[in-house]
Amino acid sequence: MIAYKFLGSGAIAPFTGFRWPVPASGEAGPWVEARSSFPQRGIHACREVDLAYWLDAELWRAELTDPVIEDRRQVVSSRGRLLSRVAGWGPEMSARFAEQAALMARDRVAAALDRAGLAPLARVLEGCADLLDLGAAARTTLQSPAPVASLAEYLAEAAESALAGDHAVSAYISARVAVPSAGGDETEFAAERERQARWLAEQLGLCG
Amino acid sequence: MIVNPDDLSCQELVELVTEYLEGSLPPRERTRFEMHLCYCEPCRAYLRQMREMTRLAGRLPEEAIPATTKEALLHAFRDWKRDTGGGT
Repeated sequence: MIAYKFLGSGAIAPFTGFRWPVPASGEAGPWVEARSSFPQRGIHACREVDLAYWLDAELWRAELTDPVIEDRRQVVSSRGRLLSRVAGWGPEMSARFAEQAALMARDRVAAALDRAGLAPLARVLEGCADLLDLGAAARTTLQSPAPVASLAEYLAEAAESALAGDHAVSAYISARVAVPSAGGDETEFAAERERQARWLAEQLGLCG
Repeated sequence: MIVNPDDLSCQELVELVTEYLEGSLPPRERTRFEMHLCYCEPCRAYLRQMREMTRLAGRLPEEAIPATTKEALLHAFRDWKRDTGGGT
């Protein structure tokens, strides 16, 4: 199975500290075996649909050998190797990813403002094309009635986290906006995470 | 920030960190644990500290503990056990 693996700088696994052997001169990297007791301890990677959950400095295509266990947010195998680094993923794409997620959150909050009869505030938010403006406008909207103020606070945090370079945090908050915007439907969080992952896969040319 | 109910809270992560480091968390819990780390820098720092502490503590032989420190620790443990009811 071909899957994806986010790693820290230098191809270091973010949770175990394991340094992955990287491919050399266009060939696949060497196979890495899980140390023991698969599937409790295995080689972990993710599908395209899981990408938004696992952001880190480097993104790699990885090959896992069968049997592969497909879990809710990741896949696990006893053996895997890195195939190639996804060249399009880096600080710039990470920032764009967080920004598009925050702009989606902006649209959700604007729609909620419209429903609450606060159309002028909605138009102000919709007029914000960058994160700086969006954060400032969201902070202004905090003076609104309670449910809307709470949404605006999410939005301000999403914009400010993205500006601070905390892109994973920002995208997480933006996804959380989907829940109260939809009247508390928790399935909207996962749906927004999937949308974020699709955006990323398209931008990086991973689809198909 | 309100977290997804499916995700761990920081407090839950702290409670599970020993099992995580020992590799005894069930796969689903391990996934939730690591997903939390993806967006929570304070918890990543906490995990780093716990790993480092475990590594350093593992190097410390009993003989390296000064006698006075050892006695103070044993005394503290005895008091703690008495204060908490001294269960078996």
